Amino acid sequence: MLVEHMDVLLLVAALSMASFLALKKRSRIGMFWLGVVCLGYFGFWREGCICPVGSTQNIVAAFSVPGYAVSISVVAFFFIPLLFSLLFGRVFCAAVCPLGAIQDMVILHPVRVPRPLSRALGVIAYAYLGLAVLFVINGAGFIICRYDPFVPLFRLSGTPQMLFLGASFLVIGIFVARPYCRFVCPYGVLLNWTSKLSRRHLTITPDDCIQCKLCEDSCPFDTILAPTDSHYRETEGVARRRLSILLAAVPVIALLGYLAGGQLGRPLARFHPTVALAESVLEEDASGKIDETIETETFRASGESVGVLRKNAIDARSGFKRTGHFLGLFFGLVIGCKLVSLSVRRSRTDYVPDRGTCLSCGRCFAYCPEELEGRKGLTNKERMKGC
Amino acid sequence: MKPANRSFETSGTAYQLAKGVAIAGSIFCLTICVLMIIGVVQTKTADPLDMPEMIELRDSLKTQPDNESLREQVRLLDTVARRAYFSSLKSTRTGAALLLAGVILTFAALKIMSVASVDVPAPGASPDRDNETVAGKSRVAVTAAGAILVVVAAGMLLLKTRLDDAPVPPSEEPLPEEVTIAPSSREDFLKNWPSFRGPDGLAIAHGTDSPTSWNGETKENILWHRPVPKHGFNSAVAWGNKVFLTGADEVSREVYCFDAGSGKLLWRHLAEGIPGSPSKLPEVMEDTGFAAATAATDGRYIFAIFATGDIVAVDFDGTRKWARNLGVPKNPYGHASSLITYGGRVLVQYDQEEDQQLLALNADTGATDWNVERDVHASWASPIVVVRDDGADVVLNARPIAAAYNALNGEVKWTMDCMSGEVAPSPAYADGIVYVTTEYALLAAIEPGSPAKIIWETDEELPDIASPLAVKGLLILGNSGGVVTCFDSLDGKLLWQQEFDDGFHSSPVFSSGNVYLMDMEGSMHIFKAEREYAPVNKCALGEESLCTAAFTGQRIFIRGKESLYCIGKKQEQP
Repeated sequence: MLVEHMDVLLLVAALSMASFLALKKRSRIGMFWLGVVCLGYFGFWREGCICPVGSTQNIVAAFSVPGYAVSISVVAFFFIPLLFSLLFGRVFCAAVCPLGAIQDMVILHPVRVPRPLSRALGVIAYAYLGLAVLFVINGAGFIICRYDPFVPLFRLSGTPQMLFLGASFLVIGIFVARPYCRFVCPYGVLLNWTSKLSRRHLTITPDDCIQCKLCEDSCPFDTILAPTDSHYRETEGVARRRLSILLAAVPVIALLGYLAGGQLGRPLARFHPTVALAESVLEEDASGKIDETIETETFRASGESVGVLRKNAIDARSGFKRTGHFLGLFFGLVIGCKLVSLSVRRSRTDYVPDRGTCLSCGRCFAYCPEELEGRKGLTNKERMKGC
Repeated sequence: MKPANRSFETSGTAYQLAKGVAIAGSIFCLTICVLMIIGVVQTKTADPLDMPEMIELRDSLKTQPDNESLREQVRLLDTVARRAYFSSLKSTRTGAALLLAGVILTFAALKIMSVASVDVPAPGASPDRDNETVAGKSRVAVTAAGAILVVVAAGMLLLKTRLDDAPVPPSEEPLPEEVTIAPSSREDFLKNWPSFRGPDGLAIAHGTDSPTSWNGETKENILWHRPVPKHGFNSAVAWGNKVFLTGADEVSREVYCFDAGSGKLLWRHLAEGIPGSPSKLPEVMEDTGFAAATAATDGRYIFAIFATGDIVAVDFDGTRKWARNLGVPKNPYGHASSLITYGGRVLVQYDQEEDQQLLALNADTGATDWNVERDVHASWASPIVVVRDDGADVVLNARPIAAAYNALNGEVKWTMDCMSGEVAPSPAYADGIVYVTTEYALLAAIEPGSPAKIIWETDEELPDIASPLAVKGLLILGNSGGVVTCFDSLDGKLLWQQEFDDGFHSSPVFSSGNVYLMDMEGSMHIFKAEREYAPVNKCALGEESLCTAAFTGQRIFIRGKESLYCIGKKQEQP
């Protein structure tokens, strides 16, 4: 318990330091070394637990599972990074999250993912978040923790499949910067939302943007938004019509999602341990091949009734079907809102980070001549090494 | 993101040093990886418990249990193998740590190389990424992503599910009504197969129309067969649409319930957590095992006893009603006497080397309603019940006495000092006469009374394991030598004798006018219950069997060495 409280204090200290380095000090090198320290402590030393990413499930369980208690440390781990994100952007992702830090260390030759593809892949994180909530509500376990690709690496122990998954993310991460953070992380969805509302956010330039375009390729995560002067060639009427249609379509898409979600609850329930066990036991009984898996062998050894197991499995599946509607609704809303968002005309005069997706890593600092101007006494080369 | 045009400071010392470290680190990591993979494969394949040498030694030890040198070899090999196994695991952990260190070092060097390569921004070199075309493509991509996820999830709808299967598939023919809660009537009792050798243990099936032809190889009249999870020499017990067996090994003891219609294993109950159950298993002979005694049912609960002395009562849904340990039976071969029920009690013939007794346990609570101490030696026979108009007697057979006790209170009704040797065949009864026998002793026809008297006896072709069948004025016996003998049950006159290729451990049963007797190879010899030998058929199960079949309605349930078979007349397909 004391260690967990200590972890909370260290989390607050690391987030404060990251905020200071990103917004005040504007030091990429500082962020890098803070990331190394946090990776060492929260990752390899504390073996990735408690982790704000996984704590999402604890919080959902606290609200949805009767009798489930959640410790104050877990609550703190869930809310504090969101609070910092609300104040200063995604400084947690920048240097504190061990999952992000380990991927950050392996970015060697990043290539740009085309934006349409990047936006399409971004949908995965929403789906993962929705699934994680659905699973917790239905007592099917914490899938974010179960399928965390990096925790087995931190612990130097895990199934070959999970170790391979973690290694794969790192190998891909050499070329596609931080793929888990950008396309999979469910907590990143929450940080994205809060960061969009952030009171202060990292800026590319410490002064006025002179639109030199030097920074436009500096972000390995492709989160820098260009001025909108040259974007729009369509007439406003066409754009408005499209927007109107999409706005009208959002409730329709959400409704379709709601209806489809109810159907999807049934197959998704197969991930529930009771349903999976019942399916295996019944399949074995039908085929006559008994005790094919350790789970079925253990069940049979327990002496529990197959009839009771089957009933529990059907009950669990019913829960999935009920709550599956809401997963579908959420997913429909996400798709609808993203389509609307992509159809809204923005007005930007400067190069700015996308507040939702910017990870506040500070790599863009050194590309800004205004920044360099501010670092008197340093040569260009020395400043560039900071990126 | 690195701009298109780059300039590299690749000639610097730091860069070259980093490059060297990166190359060396990569080779180091690769080497560690290869060694770890080899180590993991070795660890997976070198499970100390599954080593061929160990298996061979264990097998040898089974045949020579007193060979101390062999035991020592097992211990030695086990120690060596376990040391190697844990050493291998330690190496894997060390390898993982070294690999991590190597990866960190390599990536640090690569990072330094990356930083040493100074990027020169190229303003305007990249195409506009947020114009209307990109936005349009993004809308299409997001829609496609949503559609793909929905399609993937919808594809899961096609996965086969067993949850929606009917819990119990309909039987192919009407089965007797199931009685689970109310105490069973005598009529229910007789039309089911509630214990070893059926109602009252007399090996006579009532109201049956049993098939006389089947073939395990061609599946003729084999309605279903299912593997039984654990081994046991006990026979099937059938009530309503359920068939019960037990199985056990050194790890656990279990009760199984199969659906009579489909053969589906409905549940299995683990007989564990029983107060007094021994932590160390008693030594039993391989030919007996831990589950030799056949279970019994009163139509409400299934009662099962094991070689540990554990007895358990389970309802027809697989829920335990009660369980207790009767004390580990001191029996040189292992406990084999089957259970039987009468008058709301489970009767246990607990003949062993000391504390021999007949126990009557309350079927609802497991409490001992009464018990009778018996001055006998260990035996392997099972009790039978002789129902009279004014009550019932339970008849037991052991060395040196055959004896009858009032089934309601245990009062001794009669005893007959006539048995010797190791008694395994159970008594038989018909027309007011009790028959007891065992190999190297005698076959005696006893007229109950006070005192009881032997009305005839013989010592020819006596059975060693199989119990006799008394029916229609005949007494039929089969023995391990493959000889079936038929006497006139009233005067002991030898009527006929027939010799077969394989011997008999299972007991003869009378059903629908025929006698069914299974040989050890799994062939059922069916012959008329007549004063002359009149064969009807010989039906091969396709699997060895030492158990006695259960007969209900138009079906026969036979436990083979590995599987439970249901034999019945298959419906003709239109």
